Amino acid sequence: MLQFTSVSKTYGEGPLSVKALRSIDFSVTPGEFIAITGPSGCGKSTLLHLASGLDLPSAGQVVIDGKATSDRSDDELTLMRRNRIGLIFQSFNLIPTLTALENVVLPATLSGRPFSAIASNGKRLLERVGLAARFSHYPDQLSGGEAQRVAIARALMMDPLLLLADEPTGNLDSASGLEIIALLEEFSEETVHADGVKLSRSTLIVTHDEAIASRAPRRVRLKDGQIL
Amino acid sequence: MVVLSLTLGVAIFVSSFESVLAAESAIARTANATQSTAEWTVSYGNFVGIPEKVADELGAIKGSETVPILEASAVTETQHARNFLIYGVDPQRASHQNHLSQVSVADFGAIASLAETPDGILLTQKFAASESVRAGGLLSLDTGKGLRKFRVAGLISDPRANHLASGAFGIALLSTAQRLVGQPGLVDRIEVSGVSRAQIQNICPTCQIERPGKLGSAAQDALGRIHSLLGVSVLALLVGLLLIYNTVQVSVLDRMKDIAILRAVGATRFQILFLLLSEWLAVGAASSVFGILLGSGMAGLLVEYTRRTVNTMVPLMADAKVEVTPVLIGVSMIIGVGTALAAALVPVAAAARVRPLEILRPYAYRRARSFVPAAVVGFLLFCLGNYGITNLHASIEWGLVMVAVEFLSVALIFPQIVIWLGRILRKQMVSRASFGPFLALDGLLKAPHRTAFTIMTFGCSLMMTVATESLVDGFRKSTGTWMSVAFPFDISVMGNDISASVYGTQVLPQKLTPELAKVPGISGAYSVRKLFTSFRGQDVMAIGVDLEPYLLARREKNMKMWPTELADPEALRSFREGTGVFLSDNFSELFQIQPGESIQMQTPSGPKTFRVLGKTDDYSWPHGAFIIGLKELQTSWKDDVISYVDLVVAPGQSLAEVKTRVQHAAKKNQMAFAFDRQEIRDVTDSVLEQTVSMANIQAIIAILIGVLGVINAIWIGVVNRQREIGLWRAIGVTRWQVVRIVLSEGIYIGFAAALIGVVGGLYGGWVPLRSFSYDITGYRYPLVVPWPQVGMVVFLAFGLGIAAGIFPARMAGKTPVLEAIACE
Ligand SMILES: Nc1ncnc2c1ncn2[C@@H]1O[C@H](COP(=O)(O)OP(=O)(O)OP(=O)(O)O)[C@@H](O)[C@H]1O
Ligand SMILES: [Mg+2]
Repeated sequence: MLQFTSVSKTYGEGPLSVKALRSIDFSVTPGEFIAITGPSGCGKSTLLHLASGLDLPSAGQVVIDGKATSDRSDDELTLMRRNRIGLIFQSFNLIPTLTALENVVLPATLSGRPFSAIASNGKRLLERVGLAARFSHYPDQLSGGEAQRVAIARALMMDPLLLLADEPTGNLDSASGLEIIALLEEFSEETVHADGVKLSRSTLIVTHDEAIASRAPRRVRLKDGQIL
Repeated sequence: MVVLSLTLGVAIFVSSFESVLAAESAIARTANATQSTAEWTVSYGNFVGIPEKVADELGAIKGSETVPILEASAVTETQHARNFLIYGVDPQRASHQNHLSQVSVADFGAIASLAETPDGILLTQKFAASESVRAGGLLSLDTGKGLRKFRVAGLISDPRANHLASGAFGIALLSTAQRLVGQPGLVDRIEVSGVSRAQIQNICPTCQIERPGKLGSAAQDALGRIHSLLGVSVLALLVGLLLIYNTVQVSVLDRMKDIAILRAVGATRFQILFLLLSEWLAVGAASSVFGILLGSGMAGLLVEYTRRTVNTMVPLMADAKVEVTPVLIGVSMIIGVGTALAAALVPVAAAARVRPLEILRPYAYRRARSFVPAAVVGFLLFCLGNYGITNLHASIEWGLVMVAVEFLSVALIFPQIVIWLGRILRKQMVSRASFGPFLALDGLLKAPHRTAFTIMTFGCSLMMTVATESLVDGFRKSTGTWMSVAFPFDISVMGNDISASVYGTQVLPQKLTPELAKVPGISGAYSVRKLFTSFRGQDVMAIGVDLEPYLLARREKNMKMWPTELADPEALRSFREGTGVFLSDNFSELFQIQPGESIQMQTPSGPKTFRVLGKTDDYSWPHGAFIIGLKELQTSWKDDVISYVDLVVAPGQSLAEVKTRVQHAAKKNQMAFAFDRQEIRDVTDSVLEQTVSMANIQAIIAILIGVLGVINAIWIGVVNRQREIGLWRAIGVTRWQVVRIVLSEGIYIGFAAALIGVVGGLYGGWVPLRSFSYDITGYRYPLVVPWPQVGMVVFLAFGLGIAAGIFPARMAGKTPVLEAIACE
């Protein structure tokens, strides 16, 4: 599903360069739920960015769906993110001028699907994250936890194979944080229909919250750009 | 980029104002320079010399100043026969009152030195250059008394002379001129100062005594035309301000993050303000200086263009120079720097007001404020402006104020319209799940006022072309109808070359009409006299028509009666007797006189009252014309010359051949130019064309600024949405989709601008421009939709709208995703 082969990432050049990741080997098999932990600056976000194709490795290969990200064009990477990957950030996940429902269905409309066909799906997802009463609220009318749940619903809109979340609970109190994690766990158990094949969804969560990390079946610890 | 935009912003209004002011002062200067300062002009009338000794007698009166002047027309014996004026002056008399005469463009020393050259003449530099004659050379002139040779004694150094009669004149000693023109002892007029009318009448009872007109009607006309361009300057100022304001706001917003961090690390508000102010003071000042320089350069080009266009109508504008006055520099600097500072302060002040927490909130989406109250005020203002324009026939200045009010009102209404439209469109788009267009629209709706202003500037610049063209087309249509209804002639012979100057006043002798009537192929001929006379303090045009041959010509052409009232025998009799006249529609409108009423005219033979038999469309003169029997005109106005001989070509004859014969017959004795209908049409059309192109040049500049404004606005939108665009990209919006979204912002702006351009242009051409023109000329035009211009405006709006989006779209497409989402 996702394969890191001696992946390094260096930011900048010369004496000021930062080695964010140092020759990482790491793979994710379908159905896995992985928590990535480590001290600040150890390269967690970098790893996730490489996994989503938002950034490319300086050395080594990140292979998703059988093809290295460095071999894909920008458009391919974008379509891959749209169709295969659900992305959740710590904050600012939503388009401020779109309602919750519109935010959720946005990725589907980008592929030109008619609203009528996707609206019910979007509503169903919002109901599943517990926001049945918030369809037409704007992001500034939602609490941080609610906004994050909308972001999860949107991430799931395209039925992604890979769910990537970078500290999705970072801005939330621990109670709402746990709710979010519970949701992510719930969704991670689904199977995804991709190209007629049934696959299990893989989930990667970056967190520095021990309580959350300890719930994950698999845990990856990073330090100084290396896996411990 | 910022400095460039600011520079352009300043340059646009500097150039616009400077060019108008330069053109205006040039016209005024030339008109003054070539204007006699004499109190009276004394003559025996046209074609009749007045004895030189009358000047001696007048000069004997204590305190009087007199300059006798001989003025004779001639034709050059050069490759192209050109009209040439010979002025004969007496240096003895001109010595102490040199300034009296128009001829004063030549300095006294030069005139005095003419005595050293037998048959000497002074020429203008322009004429000498174009005919390649130089001092000491010979100039052959057909003076009507045969070929005469003048020796070029020198050139007139004053460049203004080049613009008097297009430079085609020369100054000779009075005695020389009298001899060579064959008018011994006679002059054409005597310019007099320091005596009363009664004293002159005492000495010369049969003399015509006139006040030399101040600024001629033609000059007035040109000035009016130039004045109308001031409206464009106001628009240019608004556009320039908007451009500066937007540009500065973008770059300040762009740097908001730095400012926030500065604040966070402990810079006081004052320190930040100081930093910003000094920075924008420097940028503003530098750009204003560049802008003034660039603007002056542009003004130079504009003036050159205007000079050419105006000069073909009236050879009035001296070498107009763009004068960069300290006042203009000061005002421009203040405007440039002030706007830059204001634009920088607004976002900073807004940011300062917001609590830090609020800036940190991820979704600071404040839904558009309501602009309804502003829109209501705007609507009321619009009604007021509209009422003012259509109903208060006050001065042009008031008209301009009213137009400004209209502009302001639209500016007030528009943001709300943008919001409403946006809401409707949003519903449409979202229900169709077209988020691409929605996101584009969204970018525009985040700042409705900015969007509104941008659209307005762009739209108004486009509007200008439609408005002028609509007016001009209306004019063309109505004059076209008039020309085909009113005139039965095929060929018209006149004393001046209309292709060089439309409002010439050269005249023809009456005897020319019977001579030309005898030309083979001519079946009808009638005389027309057009002269200016004063009516209620205005120069109106009297059109004297030789009725019987005119009616014959009409009959021959199978034309209906014109003016239609002549079909009534009663009216016909009154017109024939000279007791009744017809008014042009604009005369009737301007002076509020209706058929059936009477008008009283001050004529050289005393006050005369005429009955108004009817009114008719007639576009001869923008200040009003009346049609009167030629005989009555000649008696009352003591006039014995004619302005045109209109000829009808017999059926079956070749127009070209007959015209050539007419030209030869007419040229034999005096200056005369024959034109057929088509040529006259072409000349009037080309004058209109020039007026339009003058307005269009300004429109092009305005459109350019408008486009810059659009680029600017879209750019701000992109800069403000960096983070959001990063998010789009992260969740699967492709680069090309981003580009398309931003490009469609340009399309929306283009669409709205096209709407304003077309609707506003038609409105502008229909209401304010038409009403201005009505106030000034009394002409009423039909509303003509200039389809080519409408098409062009739509095309330009969309084309330029998309083009304006390209640069910001490329920028948006290249948004570095990670950096964009990383910025908190
Ligand atoms: N764009 C960049 N340019 C230069 N250095 C960068 C860049 N992004 C990250 N780094 C550096 O790479 C290292 C890893 O960064 P990363 O964001 O992956 O850390 P992290 O583990 O997510 O930390 P945190 O828990 O604080 O979010 C850090 O030392 C950081 O300074
Ligand atoms: Mg991180």
